[in-house]
Amino acid sequence: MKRKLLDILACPICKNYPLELIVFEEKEEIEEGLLICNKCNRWYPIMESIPHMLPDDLRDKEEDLSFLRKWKEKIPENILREGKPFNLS
Amino acid sequence: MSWKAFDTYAKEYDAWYKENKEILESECKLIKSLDLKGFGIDIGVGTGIFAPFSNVSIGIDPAINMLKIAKSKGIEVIRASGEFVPFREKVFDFAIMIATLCFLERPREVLKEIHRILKDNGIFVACILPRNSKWGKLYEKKKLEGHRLYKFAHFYTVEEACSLINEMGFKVVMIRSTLRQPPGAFLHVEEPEDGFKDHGFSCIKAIKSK
Repeated sequence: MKRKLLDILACPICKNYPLELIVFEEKEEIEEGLLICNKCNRWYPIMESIPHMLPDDLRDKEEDLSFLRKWKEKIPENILREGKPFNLS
Repeated sequence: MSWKAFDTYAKEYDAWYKENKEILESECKLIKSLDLKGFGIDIGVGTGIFAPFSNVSIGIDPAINMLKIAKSKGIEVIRASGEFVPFREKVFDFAIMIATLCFLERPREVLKEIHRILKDNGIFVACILPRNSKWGKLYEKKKLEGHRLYKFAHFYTVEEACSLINEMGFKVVMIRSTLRQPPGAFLHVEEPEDGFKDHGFSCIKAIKSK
């Protein structure tokens, strides 16, 4: 994902913007990272440079949880504990 | 859930078009002739096969394996559902949906989202496989036989698609079609034609009106 994309993104569910961006790995583009909606507390992973922004019922819980575990050192505590739709608590 | 089927057959999707080059080229000629300008999005971008012709900058689709192919072609992609589009309001000059309308479970919600993300007077294009054509009848037959993708489809006539689009706050301004040659006897690349007369692929161009 290119950084510039953040200028037009919004939370697909509550439509809040801007989203908060946390970058884990970046080359020419953001390879791995996290998009956070600070209004509804949903988080969206960026994996292999593609932001995954599906509604809750289409998300893969196991994949999401392993993403949180993989990057937990770099993910804010409130998302790890209370992030939607899935968290580590 | 039809997109899961698309994900399963992601690689075969482009392969089919490679085997049917004249069909692909005819459809691409039509899409190119629409002359879409500005900042555009493809809703249901799939493998991005039409992106170079529609001039879109961004595509969304829920099918990740399709998106990975699109991404490898240099298109900016987001895994998202058409019912929940992850963009701010009024950011796009145009939005296009190619052979996607028939696979939507909640088409009105998707059109509402497209309306929201388009700028005032923005352009919306829906390219459909009209049910009331020789091609449409073939797709309907395949659907009844349980075709792995068509079994999920609800095919529209051009009239039905136009009234749906108009109902959702757009004004249809142009219909342009291709694939006059019937299925099974498709021999040469076609030039796009205005209107619809038993064509297998029609693009409906509309303006965001309210």
